[in-house]
Amino acid sequence: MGCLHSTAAREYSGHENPVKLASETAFSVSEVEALYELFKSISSSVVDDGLINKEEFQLALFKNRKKENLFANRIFDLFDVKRKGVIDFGDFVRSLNVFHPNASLEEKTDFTFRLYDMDCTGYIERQEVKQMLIALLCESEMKLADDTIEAILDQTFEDADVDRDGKIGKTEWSDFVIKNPSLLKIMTLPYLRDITTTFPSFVFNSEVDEIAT
Amino acid sequence: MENSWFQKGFKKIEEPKSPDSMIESLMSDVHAAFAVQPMCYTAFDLISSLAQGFDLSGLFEKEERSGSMFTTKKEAKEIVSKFEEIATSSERFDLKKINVGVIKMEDRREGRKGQVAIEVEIFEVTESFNMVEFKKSGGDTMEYKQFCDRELKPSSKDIVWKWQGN
Repeated sequence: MGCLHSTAAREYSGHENPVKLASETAFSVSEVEALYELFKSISSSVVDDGLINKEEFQLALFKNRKKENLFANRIFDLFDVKRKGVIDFGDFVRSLNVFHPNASLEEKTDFTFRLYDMDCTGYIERQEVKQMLIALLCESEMKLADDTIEAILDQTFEDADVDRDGKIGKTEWSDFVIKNPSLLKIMTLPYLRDITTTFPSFVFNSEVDEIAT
Repeated sequence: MENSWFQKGFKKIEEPKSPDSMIESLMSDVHAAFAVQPMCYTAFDLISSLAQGFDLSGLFEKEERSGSMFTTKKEAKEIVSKFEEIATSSERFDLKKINVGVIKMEDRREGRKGQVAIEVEIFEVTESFNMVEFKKSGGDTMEYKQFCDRELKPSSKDIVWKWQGN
């Protein structure tokens, strides 16, 4: 056991131990190790400092550094759990955990709530949603008449904003998600089930084999 | 009778149908049943479709994905007609409705990994603003991509407003 800890310490210096991360998430130790391969390649792409900054995150998502994207920024902020402006390995694994097919509905619902609550008021306000929609349409170079946007919002808030206070609270959001499960479609990455086959290089430095021997 | 005021609520009395026209109306009933009712899209569905940054699959994929989602100002039935047209002119694909707002295009021929099948889903944001998403639901990926790049995408140009993704 002493052997495992010292090799893990060497390999993952400065980062959380994969065994610990595996125990706190839906990932197995080998899966965390595979995620570490992914993390290493992303975090070294612009600045080789063992941390993922915004530019590196964008590059990994879009394979294109120039693509400034409102929502990629939002996701980055949510992954940047400690609000340091960079994502470390622990943040990375714990955040990806929410996207695991086995993560709970509650965790996924909570993540999407925080995603859309852009100004972090604890509510998803109608004006907020409108701004998001306009910003995205702009990014996609599409224009919609204001009436059309208002009609879309009317329909959605009619369904979601049960107490008619112009904003969607956590409970209203949970209920709304149950009625519209497609809203959580983005919250599951089937890739996470096969992560060890997607990143096979972990096989050559796996700690798991050492435990077995 | 030309004056529109007279035509309000006016119902023409139909003549009794001949056997041929019975079949015709039966076919149009079948067509109507086949009519694709699009799924309703909430503002959040629209946001997550437009926001390519929401899709983290990019972290795991090695190449840039070519978009298989587009917005359109056409109504659902025009969209379906367009896909029908594409299927017919391909001389390989058959069109089937499988669910609310979902149609399937299936290759009659067997490819390398069975029949290539494409699922097309139509989401209604408003009547004249729809989101169309299509993906492979069977068969070899390369054959699917070839069909998309050579036939499906070029032929659907006149109904596409904006492609989502790259």
